Amino acid sequence: MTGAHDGAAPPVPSADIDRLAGQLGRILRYGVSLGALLLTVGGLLVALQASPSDLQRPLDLLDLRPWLGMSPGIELLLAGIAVLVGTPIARVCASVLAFHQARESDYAALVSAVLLVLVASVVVGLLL
Amino acid sequence: MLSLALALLGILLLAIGAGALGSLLGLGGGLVIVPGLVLLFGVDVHFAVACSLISVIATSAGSASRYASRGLLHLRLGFFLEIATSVGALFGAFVTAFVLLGAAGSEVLYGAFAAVCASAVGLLYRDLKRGQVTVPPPDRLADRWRLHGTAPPDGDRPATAFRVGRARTGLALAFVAGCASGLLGIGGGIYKVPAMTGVMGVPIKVASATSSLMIGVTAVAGALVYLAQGDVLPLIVAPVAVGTLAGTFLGTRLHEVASTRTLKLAFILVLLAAALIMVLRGLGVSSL
Repeated sequence: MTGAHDGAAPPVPSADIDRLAGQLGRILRYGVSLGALLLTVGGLLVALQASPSDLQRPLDLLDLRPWLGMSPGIELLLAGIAVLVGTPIARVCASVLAFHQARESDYAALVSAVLLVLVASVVVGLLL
Repeated sequence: MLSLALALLGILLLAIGAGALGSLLGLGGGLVIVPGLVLLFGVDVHFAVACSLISVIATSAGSASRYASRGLLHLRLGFFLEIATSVGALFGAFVTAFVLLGAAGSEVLYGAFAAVCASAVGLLYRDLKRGQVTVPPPDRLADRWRLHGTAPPDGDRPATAFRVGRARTGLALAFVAGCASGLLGIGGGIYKVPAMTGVMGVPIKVASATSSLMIGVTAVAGALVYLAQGDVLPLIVAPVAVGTLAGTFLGTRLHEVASTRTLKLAFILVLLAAALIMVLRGLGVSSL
């Protein structure tokens, strides 16, 4: 974006960041496509095999054993959830790198802080 | 076994409808998914919120990737506000997952949901009246973080530079939007977009695109709390996420044939009905 900025607006260095937008778009597109594919195939297989009581069975991250081998396709389904949740995390990581390379250290720090909030979410969910 | 397949099919159809409606109206599907799962399928409200958040991640990634290729994403603004939305989502999810447990907690959630539905109605109604972008006063914080940007060309209109203001208020509203997202399993775009257009002076298309990008990380911040706490039902996540994505795709195709105004009016009625039922449930009056 090289639009004319009026008056006191500081110039915005943007070539690197424009490239980043395209890169993030690709990460999101691939991530959501793969996640949806895994959930569709896994969901179909599970729908044919699992028992109705499994419908309301919650996922315990610390103990996946009861799930694995429960029915064909369940691993695909769990992988689908992991890919979907991992997709925005991957785009935050890519952004930290891009801002670092573009020497925008303030934004590299800000985006790293977003990543820390995500880590805090897991810690809060596990500890409390 | 047949009943399992039927339940999954029913949830899939609900999610397709929610996704289509959501994309037609520029809202996420969460506002429909959560009451739908609770009222139609008897899913506990905590689980419904957790499953809805995962589908919100999927829809956000899908729509943000389309906006990225049209040059509408304002990344700096997105990251600037994202810190507030993700902290808000962490807080909101914490409240739902740990504080609002049991029957009393569900009543509070029903109430909060009704409040969000009502405010969505208010914003949609205001949106029917007008859709103006305000020009904000100069703002040092926005200068410091280089938040000003340029909207790409649109039809006959050339690329236009815009200045962002009231960054502090924007951050506060983003925090509120994040809380609503983590608390209720919605994307929170209904608050983020008006905050950017009405308060900070961002053009509507850039605001919607940037909001859709932010929603993904916001929802992940909430979803991770629920995942780690053990509130995610994998068998329900699959039809909800796949259905919402398919519905969103359908919605963008329907865009040309449907009248947005009629749809918004219809949606206002649906939301009011959902809000009323949730309030009655919260009060223990209704077994609906």
